[in-house]
Amino acid sequence: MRRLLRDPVATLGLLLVLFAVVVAAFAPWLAPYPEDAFESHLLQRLQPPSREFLFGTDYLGRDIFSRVILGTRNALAVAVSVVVASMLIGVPMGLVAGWRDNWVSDVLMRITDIFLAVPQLILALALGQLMSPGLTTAMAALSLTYWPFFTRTVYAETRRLRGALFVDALAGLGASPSRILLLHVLPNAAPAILVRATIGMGFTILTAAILGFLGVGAAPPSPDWGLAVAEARQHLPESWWFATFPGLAILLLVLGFNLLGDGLRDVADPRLRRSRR
Amino acid sequence: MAELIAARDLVVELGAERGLLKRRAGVRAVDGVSLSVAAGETFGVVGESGCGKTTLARTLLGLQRESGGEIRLEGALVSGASPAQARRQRAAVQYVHQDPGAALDPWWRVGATLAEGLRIQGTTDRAEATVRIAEILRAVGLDPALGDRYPHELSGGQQRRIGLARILLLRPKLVILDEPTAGLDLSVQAAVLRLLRDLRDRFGLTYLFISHDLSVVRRVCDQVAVMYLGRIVEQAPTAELFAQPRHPYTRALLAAAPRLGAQASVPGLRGDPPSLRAIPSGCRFHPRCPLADAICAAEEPTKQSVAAGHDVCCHHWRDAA
Repeated sequence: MRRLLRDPVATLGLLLVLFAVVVAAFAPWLAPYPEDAFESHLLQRLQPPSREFLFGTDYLGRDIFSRVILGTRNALAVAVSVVVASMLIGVPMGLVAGWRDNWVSDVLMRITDIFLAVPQLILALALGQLMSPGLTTAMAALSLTYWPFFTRTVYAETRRLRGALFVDALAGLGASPSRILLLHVLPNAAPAILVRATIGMGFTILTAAILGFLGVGAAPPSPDWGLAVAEARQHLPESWWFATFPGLAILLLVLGFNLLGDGLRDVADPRLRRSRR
Repeated sequence: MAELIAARDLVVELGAERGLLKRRAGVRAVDGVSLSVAAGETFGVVGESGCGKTTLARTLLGLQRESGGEIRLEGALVSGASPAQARRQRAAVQYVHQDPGAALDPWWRVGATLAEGLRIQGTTDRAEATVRIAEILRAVGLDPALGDRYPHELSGGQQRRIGLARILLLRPKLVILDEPTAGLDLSVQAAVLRLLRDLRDRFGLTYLFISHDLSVVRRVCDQVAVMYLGRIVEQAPTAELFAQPRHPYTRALLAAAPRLGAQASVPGLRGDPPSLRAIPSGCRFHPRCPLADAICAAEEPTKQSVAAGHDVCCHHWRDAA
């Protein structure tokens, strides 16, 4: 942790992420007009930024500042659920596939390769057509296409660790494979999983915003950032504030996660790892 | 002395694959080894790197499945089982790794690592585990407070003691020590050897001592077996082996040991040991042997008795006297 803070870029990422988390947690109290998530005020539509409306108002007269703040919750919730769901599928598969070289491992890794080859956006659009387009569909599509990254990460780590002397020593003591995998391999693979998860958060937020923009993610009147950018498209370039501020929010949060992920990777790199004292 | 563990014609093949599409023959890392270790003794196995010492140890332990031959533990046949089953049957056999630091999970405090061995063996009572761990840590000469440390916070000597404590907790009868003094400086090495002797007397242990350091083997072992390319070429009580080595390979090994002021009377070994994939015909040592002649290349020597307890596999052992 201290090594992470010594890296100014990673610290910036960490601050951005922490800031977003705090904003999301207290969104209804921070937003000046929390009711603007759903209510429209047509009389004050498309007003430029002012002291009253810091980021201006949108085409339904809603305060964009409030909606950006309220949208943080959405973005983080999507990112966390997609990453957690992907981990729940990907991590166990990687552990099992990496532990032994047999047909089970081959089958699991080929399935992983197939899912890795599915383009996210197209799957999401297709799922949107099959089911009702909405946030749940978008999240399902993202989870279905993101778990292979976890499988591959955990697979590589498991293969590396299964050759480690301490795993061999445990086998020598008579430890069962499940004990070795869950209590020893998994904690030792945790840094790599954490790095992958952090980068995955940024990636998911970005893709979710794209899906919102394409109309298969969040549905109006949700204060979704991607959706807001899509709605603002017709009002460019006159109402520049409408698209700019939600877009900036996406940019900053994704940037934050990516910088943090890179910093974590540097810390977790075994070649750079030193005594934890 | 009663026999604790014995192997007969043990064969271990490594890397053999029997897949649907590919079929690949493995190498015979251990090829027809027979040995018998009596309870209470220290049995040394010496040989160059890659001669199959570690594979032999892992097979006796049960981590590596044998391809042929049999293993008896206290008279009962224990070979032929799958690794998981074999480890349950052979709980009385435990193995100490060459690099004890790397054998500890870096994320676990050593106390937790010690307790884990007990849990695996079925001791669930936490109070009892704590008492036993403290007792064993004192037995190997460590402060029980060290249990709160992480492996990388310990010195090499301390890690080695932890490695010993870890398996002594399981109350083994046979302890396989893989290069227990490799990489230690001489003073630490002497302390470890002294500790091993104390522990053997205190817990009634039997050691299988794997090493390539002849001076150490000479000091601690009762019996020594010399391995070459998966075979035992000579076996004798330590004093006899060092006084009257019969196999040319043993003689070369002894001659290769550095000594101050010694003159090279016996030529050292020529070249490297052949690959296990291309084992020479006849006697496997003949391409490097100073005594080799036609019969050595053609016929594999059988085990011959030199004296009581002293066996050698060589056509010309009489000439080597």
